[in-house]
Amino acid sequence: MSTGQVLLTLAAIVLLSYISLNIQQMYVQSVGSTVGSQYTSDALNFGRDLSERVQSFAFRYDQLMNEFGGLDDVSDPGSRIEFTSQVGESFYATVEISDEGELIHNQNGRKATIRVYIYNDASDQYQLQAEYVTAITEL
Amino acid sequence: MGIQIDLIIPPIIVGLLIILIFRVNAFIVETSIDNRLNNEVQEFADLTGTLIQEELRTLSAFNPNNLPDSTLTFINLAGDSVFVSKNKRNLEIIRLNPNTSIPDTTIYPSYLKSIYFMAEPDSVINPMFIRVQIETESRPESHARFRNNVNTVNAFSEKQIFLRNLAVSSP
Repeated sequence: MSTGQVLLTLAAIVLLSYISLNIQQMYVQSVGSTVGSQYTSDALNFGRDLSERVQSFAFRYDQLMNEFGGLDDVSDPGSRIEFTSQVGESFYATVEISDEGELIHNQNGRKATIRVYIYNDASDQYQLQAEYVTAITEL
Repeated sequence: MGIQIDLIIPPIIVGLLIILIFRVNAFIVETSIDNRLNNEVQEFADLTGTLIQEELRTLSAFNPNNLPDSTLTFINLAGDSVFVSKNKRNLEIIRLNPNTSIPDTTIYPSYLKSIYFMAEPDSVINPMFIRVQIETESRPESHARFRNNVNTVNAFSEKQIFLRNLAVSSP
């Protein structure tokens, strides 16, 4: 083959590889997006579960801090709440309870900030997936 | 008979290129429809959880010994017996008035594959939460498949629902 033909062949192979890689990348991105969507949904549901659990302490308000106090460090297994979803992914949550204060309508109570994280192996960090703020008053 | 390589190769390359272009287009169609269906079944899973959560707002009594199960039975604030279960691929809620015994059935199309109810905590006599696990699945015929026509996509949703009415009425 002449030099021109060799160069044309090489260019064709490079072009084909580029197209193939792009298609594969598109597929991987699509799967990644689907998995990410499931994780986000699970994190939102887990956050809402915790919000329901915090709300249940309106009827035993004096026990609220015993149950949720100190759950403020996602990297410490003793200071977080863990949950494994149906697809087998682990989620970690912290619950930050504010000091007692006036909320609305002259009602005293506390605010609970719930943050749900997922552990990212690649970056070796906990990544925030969902956040809820709920108010709780004594009933 | 001599073979003219120079004449044969170009049409073959053009043919391969056409196949490649069609295949890429088919792949894009398959992937985009898979994505749409995935989002759809995910939304249906979440929506089913929300529907059950709203229905449970009216719960006034239930027997935790019947759980875990794929059917949830409880008494609502109006005194009706309520049955929440999966019927084919739908969520079925039946409210049965004890006086008239006429069932009021509502069916929500939900792409349901399975549904499971649990009382929590399961170690106590009067559990204050019901956990519901939902799995939805797309139909194989909804996908655009050129080779594999049996694969589906699944989605999951899980909710822990606080039974406020029980908490209020508990001493």
